[in-house]
Amino acid sequence: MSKAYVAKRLAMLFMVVLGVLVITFVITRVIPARPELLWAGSHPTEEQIERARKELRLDEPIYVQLYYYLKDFFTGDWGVSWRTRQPVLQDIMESLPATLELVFAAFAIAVMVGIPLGVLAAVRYGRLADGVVRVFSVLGASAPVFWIALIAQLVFSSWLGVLPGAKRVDESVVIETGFREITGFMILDSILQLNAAVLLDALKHLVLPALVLSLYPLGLTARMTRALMIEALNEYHSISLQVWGLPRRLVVYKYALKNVIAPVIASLGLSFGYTIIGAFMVELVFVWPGIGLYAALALLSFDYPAVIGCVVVVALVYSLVNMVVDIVHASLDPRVKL
Amino acid sequence: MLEVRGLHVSYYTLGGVIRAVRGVSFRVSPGKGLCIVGESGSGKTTLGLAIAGALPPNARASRGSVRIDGANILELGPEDLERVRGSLVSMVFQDPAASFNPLFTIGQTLGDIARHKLGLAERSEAREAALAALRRVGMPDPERVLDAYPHELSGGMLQRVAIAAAILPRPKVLVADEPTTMLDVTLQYQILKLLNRLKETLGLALVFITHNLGIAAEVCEDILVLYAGHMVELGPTDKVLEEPLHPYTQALIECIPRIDRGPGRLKPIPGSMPDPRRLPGGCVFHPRCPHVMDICRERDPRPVALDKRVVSCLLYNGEKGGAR
Repeated sequence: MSKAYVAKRLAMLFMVVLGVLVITFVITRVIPARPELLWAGSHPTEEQIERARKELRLDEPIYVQLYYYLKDFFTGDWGVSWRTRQPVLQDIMESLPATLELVFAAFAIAVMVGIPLGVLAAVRYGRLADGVVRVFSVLGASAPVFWIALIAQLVFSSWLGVLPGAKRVDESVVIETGFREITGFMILDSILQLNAAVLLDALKHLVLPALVLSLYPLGLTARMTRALMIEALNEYHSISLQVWGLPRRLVVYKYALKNVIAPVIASLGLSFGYTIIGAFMVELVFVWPGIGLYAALALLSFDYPAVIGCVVVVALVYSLVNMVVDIVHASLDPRVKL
Repeated sequence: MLEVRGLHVSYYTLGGVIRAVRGVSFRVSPGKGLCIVGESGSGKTTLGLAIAGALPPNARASRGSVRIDGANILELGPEDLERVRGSLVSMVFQDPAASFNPLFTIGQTLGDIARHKLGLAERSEAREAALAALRRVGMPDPERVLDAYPHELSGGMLQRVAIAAAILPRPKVLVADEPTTMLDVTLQYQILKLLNRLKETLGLALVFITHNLGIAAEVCEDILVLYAGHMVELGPTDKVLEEPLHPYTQALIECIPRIDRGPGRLKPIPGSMPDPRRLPGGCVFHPRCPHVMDICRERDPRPVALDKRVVSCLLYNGEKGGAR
């Protein structure tokens, strides 16, 4: 991987962020709403509303507003949330780890379950196991995530009562054990502090939303793995390796599997966007204090700085993930030079 | 010693049963070569796969036997077959670039073969065996080749590596399925020379599959001509090429351009190979045969021993009384 390539990707990343910023900024300014009413507090007078418009620079032309916004944005000032009245960057930094924890857990489940299921289906092509995996993966990839979230919450939390149905952790456990936030990733922080009680509790809270969120990428992974594996096993090289005497086991699980992993990871990178959208809905259902919940509340209250901040962060994370995916892809396939 | 007897192979497909190989018998001694010649669809690759113990799952050898030093390959279960492949019989294919997994270095592939077939657990031992195999196929700079990925090597080099992979576990029989078709002419000649040398030095029984009769003369003592899965003529290379007995062999030889014949048009064989699902009754070649007789439409010719060879044609059935 060359330095020029990394520089090029970072430049592209900057362009993406800039584009997303401008587009979301323009969209939030042209929709007919009066956010100054929120800023001015309850039952405002005409002067208070006028003052709010000035404070929020809503009385200026849109390009002037954009100029000030961009200037502030790139100096680290993402504005103040009109709803929480805290700096947007601070709000996002507080809620992003919760979302990433959820999404990473979902992806871990998708990879660890989806790839073995896909391989199983391919090896038992046309038989019962193959059929079960295919039905399951199509259901997983096509069932609406908010519906599954509600059903899962109802069944496992309300009816069976085996898993908590809301929040990231039980507050009382946090207080009793003196748990402190370090990175904002609950699992990581509890491990760093050797806090088994919080770790266990956080895992219990994570299981249900992560499982629900994983269904889409899991179904996708299983289907992709299956199709690619069948293809790889029908390639000449899989046949010749067996003819030269290598055991089928080795040809499937070492040789053909490697042909499958790189494109599967690439497709997972692309599905990251959908999964974040899924996370928004899962967070709403499970009251998960992540960026999805934050963005939803921001949208409902016309909290523009917060909305733009959320959109930019998601775009940034998506671009970064896909950059990492490309690098992983290149490291797996010697024919790809970056 | 490779001995194929009365071999029948069929593919079971949704479109019906395809009888790809019907009653083929021959033997190849160690250090000798047999060329299987035929048009596309004549069943020559299927025959090769059956010998290599690598028939696809939808194919079955319904009758006959393939014996290597007495052991019948067709009777082996999946585990025994895995053991025999490579160690007893191996195969190289037409497209060397497609024969290697692009994500693994040559060293990884050859090393795994050495580990699994020669039981070399040590990394350095396996590497040494791979190097030795590469040297045996005359590969220049074998150390560098081991660390290369398939896409970094040329087609000619890859075909050499494929041959090295095939002979690494020291098989008794090597099936080469059109190994020179994808290479340019100078490389073709080198690969043929290499196969000839390996055959003699390693005592390999070589089965060389080609559609090119001219190549057959270079590497093989014997020629087997295949038509629609049927054995048409089998005999010593020079005999078959110089005095072909079967009308199909004669017609094939007419198709080879020759420098000593002067200008003129080549004579193609009229018609095309029959659909393997609907073979004609009687002799399978009769619709295209210039010497067709009434009896050819009814009777399937038996292979007849004649003039040091075997020929399946009713033209000769009277002469030596149908001996096998």
